[in-house]
Amino acid sequence: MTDRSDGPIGRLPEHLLVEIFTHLPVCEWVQVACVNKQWANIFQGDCLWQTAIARNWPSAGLRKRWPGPIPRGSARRRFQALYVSENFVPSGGEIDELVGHTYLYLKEQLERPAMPPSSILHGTIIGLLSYSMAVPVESLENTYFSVFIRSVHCLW
Amino acid sequence: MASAGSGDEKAAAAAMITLISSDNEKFEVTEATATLSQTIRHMIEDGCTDGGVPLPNVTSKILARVIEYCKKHATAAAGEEGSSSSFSDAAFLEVDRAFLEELEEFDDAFLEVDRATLFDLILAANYLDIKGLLNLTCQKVADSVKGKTPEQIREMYNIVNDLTPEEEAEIRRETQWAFE
Repeated sequence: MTDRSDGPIGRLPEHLLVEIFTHLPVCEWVQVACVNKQWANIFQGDCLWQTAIARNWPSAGLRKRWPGPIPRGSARRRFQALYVSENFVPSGGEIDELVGHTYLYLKEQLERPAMPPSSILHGTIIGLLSYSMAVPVESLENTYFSVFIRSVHCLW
Repeated sequence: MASAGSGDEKAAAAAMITLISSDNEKFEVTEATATLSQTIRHMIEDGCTDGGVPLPNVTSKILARVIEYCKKHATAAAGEEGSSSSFSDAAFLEVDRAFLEELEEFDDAFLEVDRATLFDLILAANYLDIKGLLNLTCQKVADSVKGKTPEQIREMYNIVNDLTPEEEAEIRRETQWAFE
């Protein structure tokens, strides 16, 4: 085949490689990212993560107000949070990005070799609780609680 | 002049557009077929398709395949619209399913091309802004790397590995969260 010698995939601009990668299941991404530097860099950029968020959770970008002390962060971080919400946190079917961010944040704090100052964790929980007051309680109460319990459970 | 969107469908179906490939071959297609391409749709809306639409980025070989795709999918879309008014719900669902199955078979057969052609189709679908075709062709490439190791992917697409083992290990570590 002639295309073996000229590597036709190299002709594609990066945004089309992003199109292809985001058609793969997430568990395949590590293999793709390890192919070469160009492909690895695509996984460092925002474009891939934004495209992946738009493809998987089309309504995820709609939330204007961002509550609480945990930063929403980069597109990559947001994808991670949404992925966690969908896959690891049992909820009533609705994907809540904030739940994912909470999970990631608590997990990181608990994984640190030294215990974080208790004020950080304390502030985080208080921040979340105050947020949960402002929205339908039954949808959040359980999920936050389970996020926290699961984090503690998994990591301690 | 056909208006934007689904204005006068009969007029839209009857109007013909001439597409001109990079190697100067002319293709006559119905407006319904041509407007699967958002790029061409916008040109029609702007009224700049008199004398044909030059497509300097698409060869006649690839344009012929793209038109084949658009014709099939435009027909399917028109068929669905027609059937919704003249069949009962049950019959409509039946027709709908038959259409979808036929379309799927068409798409599978359509993708039986060599890799170079597949990448040309991706580039053309991107340039002409045909969402369905872009998704279809990108999914095909994605499926081809599914379950493969980085080395197998490099071999398949003739890609040089310019990562050190340390860099590869670092990438693996960074992406680990997906497997917890």
